[in-house]
Amino acid sequence: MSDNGRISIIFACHLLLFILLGELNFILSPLSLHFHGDTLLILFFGLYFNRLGGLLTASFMGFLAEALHPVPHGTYVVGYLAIWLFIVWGQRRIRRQNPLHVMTLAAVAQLLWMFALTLVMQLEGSQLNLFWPRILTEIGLSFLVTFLVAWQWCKLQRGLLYSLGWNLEAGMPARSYD
Amino acid sequence: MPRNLTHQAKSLLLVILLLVFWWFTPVYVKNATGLIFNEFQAPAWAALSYLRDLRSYWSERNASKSELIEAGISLSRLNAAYMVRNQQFESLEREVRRLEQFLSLPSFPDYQYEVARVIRRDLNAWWQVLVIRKGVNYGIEEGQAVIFSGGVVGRIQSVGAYTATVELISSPHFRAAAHFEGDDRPVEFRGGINPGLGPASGMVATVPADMEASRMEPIRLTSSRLGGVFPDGLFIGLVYKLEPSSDGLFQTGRVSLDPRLKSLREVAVLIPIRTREDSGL
Repeated sequence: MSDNGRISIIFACHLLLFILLGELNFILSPLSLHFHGDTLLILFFGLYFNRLGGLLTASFMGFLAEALHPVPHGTYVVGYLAIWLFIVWGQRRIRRQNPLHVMTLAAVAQLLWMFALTLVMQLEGSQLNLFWPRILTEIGLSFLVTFLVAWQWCKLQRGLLYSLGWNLEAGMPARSYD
Repeated sequence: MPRNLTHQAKSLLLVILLLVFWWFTPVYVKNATGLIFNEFQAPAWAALSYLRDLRSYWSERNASKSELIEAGISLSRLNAAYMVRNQQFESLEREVRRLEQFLSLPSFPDYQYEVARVIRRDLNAWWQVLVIRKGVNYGIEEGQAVIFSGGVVGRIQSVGAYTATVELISSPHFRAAAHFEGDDRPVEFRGGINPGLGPASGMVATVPADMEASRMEPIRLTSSRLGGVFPDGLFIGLVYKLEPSSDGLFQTGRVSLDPRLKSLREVAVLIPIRTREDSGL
């Protein structure tokens, strides 16, 4: 299988995750809980793939999320690109082999994004009746779950690529580096 | 010759270029992009909801014969009760029409009920929306009222080809005119109090100072025709306590909404039946 084929499979995994997150929130809604897993949709492309792949994935996922949510134009696209940039920035400052580093990077990115989203929604709707205890609950829950899941999610995809003949830890294709 | 940029710096430049491009993109292109991406993913959500239906179908097929017989008996009792109620409703309807003609009053708008399955629930701190499995293909339009067996659900926020988004009454953005049962004076209802792990509530404002509510005798808040969206008298929630507002002229209170709002699987959209005069024919 070609590299493009493998990347397409990983991209399809991300699309599946996007749908599964929606289903998870459908199940959680009677409990008045909501999990925001935005960082998980970008993390792997930000950490392991080249610039173009990451940029396209972040934009695509941003457009998908934005079409579903009642937010001002471009909020999710800009937000997802910012998360991707944050992860790219973090590449030089963390070790991708260290689970704690990856988990912390993902959880912090999620935390920052959710505070930014709150700020945008607050600025957008002066009539908005935001309920802070709920916001803080969701931020806390999303931070915690992202922290716990991020490493496993990356490991799963690395394992998938390995089974397809691409060992990311041994070395990426030359064009992945700039 | 400038020094080679790092991977991070190049990424940043690329993102900035992309954002500048997005900034100058005309609004209609942005709207079209949103529409395209919405329609692109709609089949996936619809497929998930069909899978859910299939799962419940198979789980219900496992019910024993005695359970089915019991369900059939209770259904026939319910049908009998509803048939009696229908007769009462029809006679009341005739009475209303007769009075309207007698007093030359404008008639209330009639609605067609379009029942739709919920395919997605997005209930978080910033917005509370449902996506239903019917859209323009069933004549659903923005702003139409959505109800369920427990009263008001919300209003249609946006419509796609085969799906529509409903803004719930518990959403922080939601505002509507309402009134208390047995009192015609309008009050303002606002959604937005959604604690985690608890039922949703709303706020009611501009309540006349003579209204009273207590835990033993809560008052029922119902929809009002004034907003032009909902028919009159649909249940919104219960108010257990009223407090004087800061201006001293009115009262405010918390409205306890139906807890079933968070687990809705089916809703009905009220599509106004247009008369020939309304549609300009």
